[in-house]
Amino acid sequence: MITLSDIQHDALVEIFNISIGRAAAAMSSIVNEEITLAVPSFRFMTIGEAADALCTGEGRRICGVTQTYNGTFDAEAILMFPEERSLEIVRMMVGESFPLNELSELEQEAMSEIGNIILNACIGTIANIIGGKFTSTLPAFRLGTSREILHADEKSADDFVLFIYIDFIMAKREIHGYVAFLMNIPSIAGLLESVDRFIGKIPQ
Amino acid sequence: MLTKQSAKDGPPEAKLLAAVMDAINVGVIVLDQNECVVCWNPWVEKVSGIAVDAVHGKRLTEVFPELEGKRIQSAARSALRNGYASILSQSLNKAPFPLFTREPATEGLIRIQQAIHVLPLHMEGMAPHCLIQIFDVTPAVSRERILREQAQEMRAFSHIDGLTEIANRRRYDECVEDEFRRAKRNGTLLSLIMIDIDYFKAYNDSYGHQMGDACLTRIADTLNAALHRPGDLVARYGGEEFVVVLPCTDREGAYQIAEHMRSQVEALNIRHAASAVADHVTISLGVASVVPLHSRELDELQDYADKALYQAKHAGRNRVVVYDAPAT
Repeated sequence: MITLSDIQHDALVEIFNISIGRAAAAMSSIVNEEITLAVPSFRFMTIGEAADALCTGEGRRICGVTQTYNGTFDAEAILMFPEERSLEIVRMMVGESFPLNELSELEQEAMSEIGNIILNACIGTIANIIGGKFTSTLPAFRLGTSREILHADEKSADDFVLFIYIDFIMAKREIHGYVAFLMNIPSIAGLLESVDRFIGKIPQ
Repeated sequence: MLTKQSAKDGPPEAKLLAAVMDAINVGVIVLDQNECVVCWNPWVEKVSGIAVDAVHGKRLTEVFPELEGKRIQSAARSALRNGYASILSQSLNKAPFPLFTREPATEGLIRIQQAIHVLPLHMEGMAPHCLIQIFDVTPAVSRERILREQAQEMRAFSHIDGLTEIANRRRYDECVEDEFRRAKRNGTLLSLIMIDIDYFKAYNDSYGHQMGDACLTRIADTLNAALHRPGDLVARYGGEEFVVVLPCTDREGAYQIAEHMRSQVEALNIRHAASAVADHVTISLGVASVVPLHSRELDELQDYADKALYQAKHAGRNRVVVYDAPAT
């Protein structure tokens, strides 16, 4: 099990909040309304644990926006919301007066853009911390159970994810979402070393 | 700049690539490290009205000053500096590029609805470039608009009774629940009137279903015409039963409306030889009125109105009975 010291955890939360704040500013200017994004905490967990944490009920679907990053290490990043929450977010942002029961093609694309902005901000943070370099693919929209979205049945149950909690606040509404980075153990070890170096640079 | 002209004397690969750029039905713009245009395909030429020679080596924001500080600019920078791909959806970015087509019917110019992909390009031994692809999603936008309008129409229809064109049972159920909650919150009165057409089965049997339908429609119109406030609702409850929701109305007010309805239906003077009450169609009405306190349930109110209607029928029909709540 990967555990973090309090100082490692707090430092990473702080850094994520700075970059996610920039993503929120970018989104606010798109929709002309104040959007606040915050990262209250994050954890490392196995894919199986992450799938369980995301599962809100038997057969309930999750909406995911996924992007693959290659570079210093390879990772798949996924932004996830329960399906009904994703409908709310898109409708708040797009301002559609008559909602359909499922995200339409164009709404899925809007959701992909929201994911794209948040995920690029997250990987940008990680790249900064570790002094790494990544290139990304275009985002893809997916709907499925949490196990399907996280490929829990294809991967070894011991594979780890960096699981980041994200609060999405808009028009006095608060919606909780999650970002998962599917990484292997050496990548996580590399990230933690970099965090330590980063903390070392902060005057205590 | 890659164009058919510039590739004329180049290697076959360049000619082929230029021909593809020429034929492809997607806007392709490539920017170099300094955000200057190095590729501008004929699709973009056509819809922007700007020839490739006029943009060569210019920064994208020089060509389109309105893009300065916009998301497309930061997406291009993110691709060039960090290597990240971005998408700009049509829904969240209202047609960022000033690109137009002619509307066939009116010949007027319409701004193309756009979905944009911004991708980093990495080539061995070369500085990073950025590829901007622009897709025309105008047809998809209008398709979704039509879909949405149809869904909205269907929803409206699903709340209307097909025969009488007044509210149906589903609309009533939603309305009465809302009004009950509202009355509870505000401590105001809520009244219901339950209405039944007297000897309607006998009417159907002797005059036929077509006449029966016509009778229902005329009565529905008459009941509807008796209501004047925007919050009041009359709905077809079942076969020959109707229900009226009257927010902020006391027993006396509800009785007045019910009695008015009764007399208006009588005034229609629809012949009904099989009725045991009169030689024309009549209705019986049950009125109930409550202030929904915490202990009161909606079912109770409906039950009171039902009981009042039952009493009206037993007392000889063609009349209004107001439910008298037992003393508590």
